[in-house]
Amino acid sequence: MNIRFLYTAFVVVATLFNACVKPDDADMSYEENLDLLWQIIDEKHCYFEEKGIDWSSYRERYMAQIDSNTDDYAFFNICKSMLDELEDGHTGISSPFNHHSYSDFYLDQAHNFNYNIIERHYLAPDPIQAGGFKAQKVDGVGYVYYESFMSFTGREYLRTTLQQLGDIQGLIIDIRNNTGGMLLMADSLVSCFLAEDTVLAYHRYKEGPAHTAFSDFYPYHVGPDDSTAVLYDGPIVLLTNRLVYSAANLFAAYMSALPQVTIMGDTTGGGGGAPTSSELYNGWNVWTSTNPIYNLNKQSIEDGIAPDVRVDLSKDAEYQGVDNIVEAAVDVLKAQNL
Amino acid sequence: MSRFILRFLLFFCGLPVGLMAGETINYNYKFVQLGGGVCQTQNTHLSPLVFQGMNVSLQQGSSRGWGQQLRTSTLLVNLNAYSHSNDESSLQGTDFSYYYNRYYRPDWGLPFGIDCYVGGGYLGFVDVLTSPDNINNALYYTFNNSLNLGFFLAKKWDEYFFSNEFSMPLIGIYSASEYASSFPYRLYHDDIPLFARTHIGSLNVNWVMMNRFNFDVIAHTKKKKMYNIRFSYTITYGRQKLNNIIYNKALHQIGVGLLFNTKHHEY
Repeated sequence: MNIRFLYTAFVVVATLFNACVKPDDADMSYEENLDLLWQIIDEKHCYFEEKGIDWSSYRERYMAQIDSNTDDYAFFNICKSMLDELEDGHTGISSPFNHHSYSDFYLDQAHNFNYNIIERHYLAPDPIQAGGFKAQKVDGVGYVYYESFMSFTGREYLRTTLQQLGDIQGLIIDIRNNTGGMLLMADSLVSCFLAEDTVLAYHRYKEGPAHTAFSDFYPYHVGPDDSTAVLYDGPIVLLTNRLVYSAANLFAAYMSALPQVTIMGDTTGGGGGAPTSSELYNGWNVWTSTNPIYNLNKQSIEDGIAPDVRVDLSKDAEYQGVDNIVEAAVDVLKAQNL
Repeated sequence: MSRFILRFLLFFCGLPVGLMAGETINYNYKFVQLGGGVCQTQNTHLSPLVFQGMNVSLQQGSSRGWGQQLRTSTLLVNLNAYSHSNDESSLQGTDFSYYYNRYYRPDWGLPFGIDCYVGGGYLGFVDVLTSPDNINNALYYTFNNSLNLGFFLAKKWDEYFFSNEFSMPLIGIYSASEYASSFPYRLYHDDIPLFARTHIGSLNVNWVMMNRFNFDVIAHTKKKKMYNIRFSYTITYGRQKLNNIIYNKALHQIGVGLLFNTKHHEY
């Protein structure tokens, strides 16, 4: 048999196979893209029941805003307005020209944090900086600031930080303005204060498109690192504000379950649903809370963790360059050592 | 040559006119082949969109026949790259399939002397898909083990040998991404016990089918050297519906390879 003929037959058949492929859907209309967005949220979002949201009513309301003058910019605004109805910081949309996620959960609230004061009055002049931790001894109390969980910092960095702080009468962990990141970071950090494997939270998972289709509660265990003992077993104050969100919110939930911990400041911002991502026909990315997380009492942490001691940053103290929340934390810890 | 083309086209049209019947065929050989083709997938864990793509594949396997029995095994590895025409989205995937089937030849007396074998065996199928555009759940996996029903048809015609192997699942045990595999939150939810991730599938929720058509031929070079060359067309179709995740995959590929140890693969 002629090799050239076989080669030609091979190429012809390969070309025919391409005809089997279904045409793509990149040129879908704005209406079809909005319908897909509505459907993605309808099937994946987990807080309809908890927040009492009638999602079915929003589809037609926002579909009516699309007209012949709608361009990509206007369509993006329609999408983000519809998503904002969920009042969820873990819900958002991203296009090549804009990015949006809900942020009123902290913009409408007191900020209760001023990093300039922390840096100049409490960390300066020579802070300990290990991994993502910034620390200093404040009036005999250890102060550790941790601003983000977006990158993983091992517990060895906290160990060396505490070693360098030396003898302390208590420990302040300041996670204000920490918007979260990796849940693993929350696990790693809380494990520094655990002597044994402990259930600190519960997870549920979205099992179907229905708004109430959730799995059972799965206990979430956090255990200590085998290679180390408890890094610190004295009293701890955890400082929080409304911008403590997502993984940092979970860390606050974890810490609230520990008896030696006092949470001080403002209620955290929440973000109790682990998000999943999807996309529209036009390639824009969409994400929303899908798998809810609960505290030790199986209560949702979506609305945040309330502090044991509510303290707001006073304007007078801020004007004087002092953080009265840190000062209150120092007082609480020193009082516990009397 | 025109005679060959006519017969080739008639065979593809389902009109095997003039096939010779009643010859003894031995099926003992090993093969290895490279191929490529087109593929299509939808995986709602990663994206609701339907992606088209290209793939390259490597197949190797063997076939051994004796008496009224036949045994085949195939290892198939595919590298798949998918894209979407919105120019914003892409997927990458790798899948592995292993088929092991035992067939028996009933006395059905098919027309044109076509050999027909019926049997079944095992399928192991793993597909891993990643979406670099997905922020939170960029990875999907499915791992299938199933008992299969299979058919093997074969026909020798002059110095050409046609065979078709079809395999479909009867029942399977499988595991797949069923909840969020969230980046950067957590890739693997170790709080879910392993048995909760493993499912006994019904055909409604889990299906992996394969059909491979082979066309073996002896090719001669100008130096009169002889090769046993295989051309094949393989279709793999997978479908799964688990919790909130729908997974569909269709893969068409053609391959070219060589047969080895063909001293009993008589023409």
